[in-house]
Amino acid sequence: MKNLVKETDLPGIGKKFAVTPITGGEIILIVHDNGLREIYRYDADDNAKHIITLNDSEARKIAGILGGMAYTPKALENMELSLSDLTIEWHKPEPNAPIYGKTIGDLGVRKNTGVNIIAIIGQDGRSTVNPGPDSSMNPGDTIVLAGTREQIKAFKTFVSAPPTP
Amino acid sequence: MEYNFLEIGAFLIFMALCGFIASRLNFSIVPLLIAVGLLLPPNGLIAYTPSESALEVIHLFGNIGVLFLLFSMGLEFSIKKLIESARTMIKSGVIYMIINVALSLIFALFLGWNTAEILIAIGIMVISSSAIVAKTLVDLKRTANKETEVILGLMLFQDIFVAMYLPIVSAVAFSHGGHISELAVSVGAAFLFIAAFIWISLKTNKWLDKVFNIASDETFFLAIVAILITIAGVADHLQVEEATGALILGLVLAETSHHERILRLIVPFRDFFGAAFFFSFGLSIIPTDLSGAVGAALTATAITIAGSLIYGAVMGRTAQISRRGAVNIGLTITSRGEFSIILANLGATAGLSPTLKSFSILYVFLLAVLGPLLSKESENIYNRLAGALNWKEPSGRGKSRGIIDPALLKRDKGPES
Repeated sequence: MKNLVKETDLPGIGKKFAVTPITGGEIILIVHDNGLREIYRYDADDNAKHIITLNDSEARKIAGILGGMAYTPKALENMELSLSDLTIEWHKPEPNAPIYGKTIGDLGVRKNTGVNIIAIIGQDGRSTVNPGPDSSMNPGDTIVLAGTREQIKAFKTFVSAPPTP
Repeated sequence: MEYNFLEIGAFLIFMALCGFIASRLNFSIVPLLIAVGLLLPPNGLIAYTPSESALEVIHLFGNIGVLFLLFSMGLEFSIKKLIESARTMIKSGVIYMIINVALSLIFALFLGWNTAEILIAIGIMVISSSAIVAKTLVDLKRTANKETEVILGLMLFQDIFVAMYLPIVSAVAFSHGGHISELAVSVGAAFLFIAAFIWISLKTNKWLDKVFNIASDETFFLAIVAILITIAGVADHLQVEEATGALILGLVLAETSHHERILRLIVPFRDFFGAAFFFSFGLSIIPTDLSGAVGAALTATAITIAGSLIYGAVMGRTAQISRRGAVNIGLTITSRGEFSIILANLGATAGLSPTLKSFSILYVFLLAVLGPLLSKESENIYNRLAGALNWKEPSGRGKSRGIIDPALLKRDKGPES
């Protein structure tokens, strides 16, 4: 991932970022001092072709989508987001994990591992945000966890073999 | 004094109209402002004489505008940025100066002007308008092009050049052909002022940071404008030219932690008063006065375009830029504007020869209009040139593009590794 992004100053205009993905090609992002963003790409003749101009809020929205905050790509169902000590992770337990059918309270998730389950996303895409102790999980659900890295690790071992209460 | 707001309003409506037309045509607003100002009374086609006070107000706006333009230019600098890009920038800047100073010096000598007039002519002919150039690049969606970095680097070099050149020219122009020792004294005084100012502000950098730590945007902005106008006044008293004072204040404040906040606050003011600057330049032109300088101005325009294209070609070679990019460089940097107008005004107030005055006005007008046009048409001009001279672009990079190297893909699998 070395030199993926090259940064150049454009005095009087803003900043230029040249992004070279491993699949070839090159995308140029211009961040204007006035908040506009522009995306360019080079055509076969090496000319920068303008693709789109975005204002600040549009650019942020698109950045969120690209960053996987709006929708997690299927290939990355175990995604994580770290904010210093706090880690938020999307985790999909094995379909044969011995946790299904029991409520979160029965499993004693917080007592045993320390993590908080902040959401359960069902296979149909419907999510239960902030589930109570009487909620339960179904095979194929993605569970959004919040906690320290150790707590999340403990949860992952816990769901594969929960101690009998 | 009674102000006729109806007349001031009418002038502003014309300025706003320029903006509308410019954005509709995807064209720089500057040449339109100058051209519309030229057509309007007191000197233009319409038989109406606006009151003195209304004209005064527009000219005052314009004079404030030039301060804001140069102040914001100074704010864009940072010593760190300069040092980072110094080597390539100086090389490219020196190449530009050698080509274009030589050409304009020969031209000015040919017209038989005196030292002060030659210096002003060189300044007018050598320094591009960074305002028009940056705007044109954004409007034409060329910000991502490779050659744009070269162009903007050159603009930066020219801005620094101006900061040193303006005090010299104004010292020479106001010395009225005095003895060489007097001249040396006034040039020395100008540089002493600049050096002292920069030294003091670098020493007081931390203190400045603290002083400007003002929570209210209103107070902060008032303080900035107060200092800007005062410094410009001090500079003027020392015959350093207000514009230089504003530019150097910008350079100094660029080193404080407040520069982004200042820039954010002054941009709308710069845009408004800056528009008034170009507009009032147009208003001040008396078209009938210019007839004597047509030949000289047209020759100078041709020389500038040629010199810029030569520079583009040289940079294309040294910076490995395509021929298309080289033509873009050459044609984009032909725009003349704020600096040339400042120098033309300086020549006028110093009471130099009237030919120089008409020459400079006509030349600036021609290249303020032609510059953005040439930049816009540079693709077509390139295609014509390429067709006429039978150029073929070596397409080196284009070939490998879009082909996925499977080895690379494999190596990078797994975002966590």
